[in-house]
Amino acid sequence: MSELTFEEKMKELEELIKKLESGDNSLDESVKLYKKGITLAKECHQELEEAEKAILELRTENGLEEFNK
Amino acid sequence: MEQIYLTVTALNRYLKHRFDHDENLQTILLKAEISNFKRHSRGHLYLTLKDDNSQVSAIMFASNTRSLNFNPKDGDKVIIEGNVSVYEPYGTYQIYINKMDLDGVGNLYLAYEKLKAKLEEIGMFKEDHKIPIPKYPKVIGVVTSPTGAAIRDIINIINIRYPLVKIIVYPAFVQGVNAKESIANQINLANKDKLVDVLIIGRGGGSIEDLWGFNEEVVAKSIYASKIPVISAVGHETDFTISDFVSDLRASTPSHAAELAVPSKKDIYKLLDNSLRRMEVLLNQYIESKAKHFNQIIENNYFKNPGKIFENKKLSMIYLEERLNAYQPRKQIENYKNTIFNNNRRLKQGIVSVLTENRSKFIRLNEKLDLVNPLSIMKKGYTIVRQDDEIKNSVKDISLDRELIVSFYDGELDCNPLKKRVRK
Repeated sequence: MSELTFEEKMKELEELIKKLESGDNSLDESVKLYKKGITLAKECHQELEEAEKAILELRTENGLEEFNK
Repeated sequence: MEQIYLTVTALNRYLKHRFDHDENLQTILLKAEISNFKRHSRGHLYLTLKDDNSQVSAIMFASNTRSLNFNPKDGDKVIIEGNVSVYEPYGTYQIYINKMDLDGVGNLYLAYEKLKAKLEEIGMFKEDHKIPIPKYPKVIGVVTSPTGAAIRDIINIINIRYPLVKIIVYPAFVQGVNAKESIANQINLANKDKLVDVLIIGRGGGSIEDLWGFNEEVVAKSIYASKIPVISAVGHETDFTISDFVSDLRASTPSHAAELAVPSKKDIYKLLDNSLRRMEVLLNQYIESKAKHFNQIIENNYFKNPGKIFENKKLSMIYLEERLNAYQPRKQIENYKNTIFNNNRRLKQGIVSVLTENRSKFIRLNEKLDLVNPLSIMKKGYTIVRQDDEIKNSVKDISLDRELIVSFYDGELDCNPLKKRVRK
């Protein structure tokens, strides 16, 4: 999996589609964009599926502490 | 013993004295409802203060009305500070009001309206100061009570919608006297920490007094100063606080704030599905269009028959030549020449016909003239007779004593007349 954050992946996916829409790419580039797009979309999907609960923290005078609710 | 009778004036003066020297009556705090409210032309206010069972008249002098921050009217519930004294001429006692405020909720509402107007005036609610909320936040800060209903609702919604985030709770008192400082400090702390992408501040529903911390200026100022976008979520849908206006986004409830702070899993799945489908369509379209273009090139007539290129060029050249010829100057000059030649010819023909006509006319006239020419008549034997240089055409005019000249067509003859015979 790439090191990008979820937000960065979503953004890249969006830009990649825009590029495909422009039609200014060679055949080779277009296929590459398509493959990359599929990978990104799958990664995002997987990341969302695997996340179960948000991590909770409490800001105290000592910094961040675990917070259970 | 004689009885002592007081005058009315003395009685009233005495009572006034007693009132004015009773410490309990010097500063009284009173809670009441206004009725019979009248504003005197000099600015004094006359009113009756009442509760369910009793009433008392009151006056507020114009000099004290300057501190009023509302327009009193009948039915207003008020709290009053003043003193009680007797008005001697009428023998009535009344309350002299120093300070008057709307009671409880009324007063809070007033303060709220006042602060709202003030902050709006200095531009703290302006749209162009508002920071957009990030679409996919990584860390969400929540300034609220860690034990309240609000944080529980927020966590629940976020776990359902977008559990990818981390939530950092900035614990604050959300009601009571410490609330305003507590809320403001935690907003400032979150800004110092710089750990969160968006900040939710708020609490669950309660009375207007419970929510009051979010109507305080110090809280408004820390929201305004925040570099982190702030979502304000105080109470219920119908509760509006100063925080709501200053913040970058207003949520009607804490749950709603969580919905505004994060995208939903469901929507993202849908978006990803659409993206996949879109990419497939785009790639297919791309390949199809390239294939079509290739076929067009292959199938092109020129490609099949290169001579066609020249044929067309030739045709257009001929066409151009024709057009050029039509506009050539030499051709135009020739045209003009032709016109001039034709005109010339027509002119000459005209002159010749005039001349011929005139000549035949001349000949005819000449012949006529010949007929009357005296010489031609004289040739036939006629002569002309003159005497004294005058032509004589009667014998009667001739004198016998002088010479005559007889003109023939070929000469003249001098004669002397002998005798004359006049025909009768």
